[in-house]
Amino acid sequence: MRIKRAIPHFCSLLGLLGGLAPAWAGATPAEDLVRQGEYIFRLGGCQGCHTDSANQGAPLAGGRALETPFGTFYTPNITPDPIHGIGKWSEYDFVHAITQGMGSAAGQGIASGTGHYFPVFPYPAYTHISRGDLHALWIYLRTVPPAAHTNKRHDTAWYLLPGASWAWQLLFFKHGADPGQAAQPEQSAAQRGEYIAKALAHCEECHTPRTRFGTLDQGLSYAGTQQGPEGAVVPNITPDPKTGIGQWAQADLLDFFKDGGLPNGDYTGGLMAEVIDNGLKYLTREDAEALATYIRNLPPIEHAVSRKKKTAASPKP
Amino acid sequence: MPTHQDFAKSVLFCLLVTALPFWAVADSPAERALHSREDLMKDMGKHMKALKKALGDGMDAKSVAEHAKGMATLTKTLASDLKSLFPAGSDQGDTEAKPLIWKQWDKFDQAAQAAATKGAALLDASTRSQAADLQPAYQALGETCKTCHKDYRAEK
Repeated sequence: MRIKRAIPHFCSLLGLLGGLAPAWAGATPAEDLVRQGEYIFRLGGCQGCHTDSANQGAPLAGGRALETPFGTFYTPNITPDPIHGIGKWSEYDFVHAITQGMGSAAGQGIASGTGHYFPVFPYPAYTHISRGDLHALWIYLRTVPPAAHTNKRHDTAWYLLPGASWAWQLLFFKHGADPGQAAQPEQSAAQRGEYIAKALAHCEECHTPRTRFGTLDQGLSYAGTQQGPEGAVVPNITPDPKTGIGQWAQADLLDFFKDGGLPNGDYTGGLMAEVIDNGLKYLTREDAEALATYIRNLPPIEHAVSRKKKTAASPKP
Repeated sequence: MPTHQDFAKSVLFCLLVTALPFWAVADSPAERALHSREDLMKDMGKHMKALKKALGDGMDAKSVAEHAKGMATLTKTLASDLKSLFPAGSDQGDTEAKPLIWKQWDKFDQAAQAAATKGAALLDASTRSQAADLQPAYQALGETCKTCHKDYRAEK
């Protein structure tokens, strides 16, 4: 009888100890590392894609629909939820996913599970993130509240058969020279600007048109596209004076990163406004200067990108 | 022998035939609304650009007052004439307006009202001519512009 009466108390004690476990284990990460991770998280644009803001989704719980010419992709839950998120992943799994574009088998429901990711997840850019930054990002992501939100399967074009993402990686994906270690901590301002643009903020992924195979058209790097994410028309940000941002001064770019204001007094909209709000406005002054300098020194490419007229859908017979 | 009446009919006919092509290419109400709101937004952009310059150039009080008044007037017009500037169906054609505007009309209306409030606040701050008051008011108005563009306008 005594044992039976004691069971609920014992269970309560276990629950309490379970709740205290992270503190016991000394797992509370150093604040500066969390802050560094949050900074990387912001510049990497994780918030925008992994949160279904339009439907009041929980932060980083995924479910945002990304419409592309290759189908609609639903971003996964990257909260520490053990069932639906990445709660059971190790740091190795995380780094592997980011730098190699491959999911972990550690019991979470990222869309197609353990397979190769489609490049709608910008791992071709993230593969160049330094190991130190990835470690900080991993630590930060462990601090966000878990959300038990089920992942949704992608709705891809019919020709993307099983194995398509594996084949794509085999043919087109080049991981960083030393995966996960590529960028060195000691960087010149020019290298830092390139690192932010290419690896963290993955500017090319939206501002460069894609080939029919979904790879970036390197001949038009940063020169804009009419087929951006979610059907957006993405502007040319090379310093071409006619079709790009050749008329912009350094201060114009710095202001733009800060509040989305354009030199003509207008304000940016759509996805770029999200990128500013979730990420670029948090740039340190030094990093903003480095990124602006890098962008202003890109090779100018004359490539006009204009909005197509929207026409009313013709009535169905 | 043609009568005056015949002559009048001929003139009327000619006028109608001449006017027909113009009528055929005349703007529809939706297109007129589209042009009106584009002009309004462009004018706002000019004022915001001038304000930024005036606030940056060692506080040009006269210019600030002029353009703050311009922004207050235009944001008030935006809020009061929102329905005629964004009539249903005017998401088609050469426009960056997203269809979400008409799906979330109340929210869109609130955003326009917020712009008018911030515009009035900027005008109020301009009467005090203190840069310390004006910068936050200017930034707050810019923030409402960006927030609205984020949800309701395609990228630019």
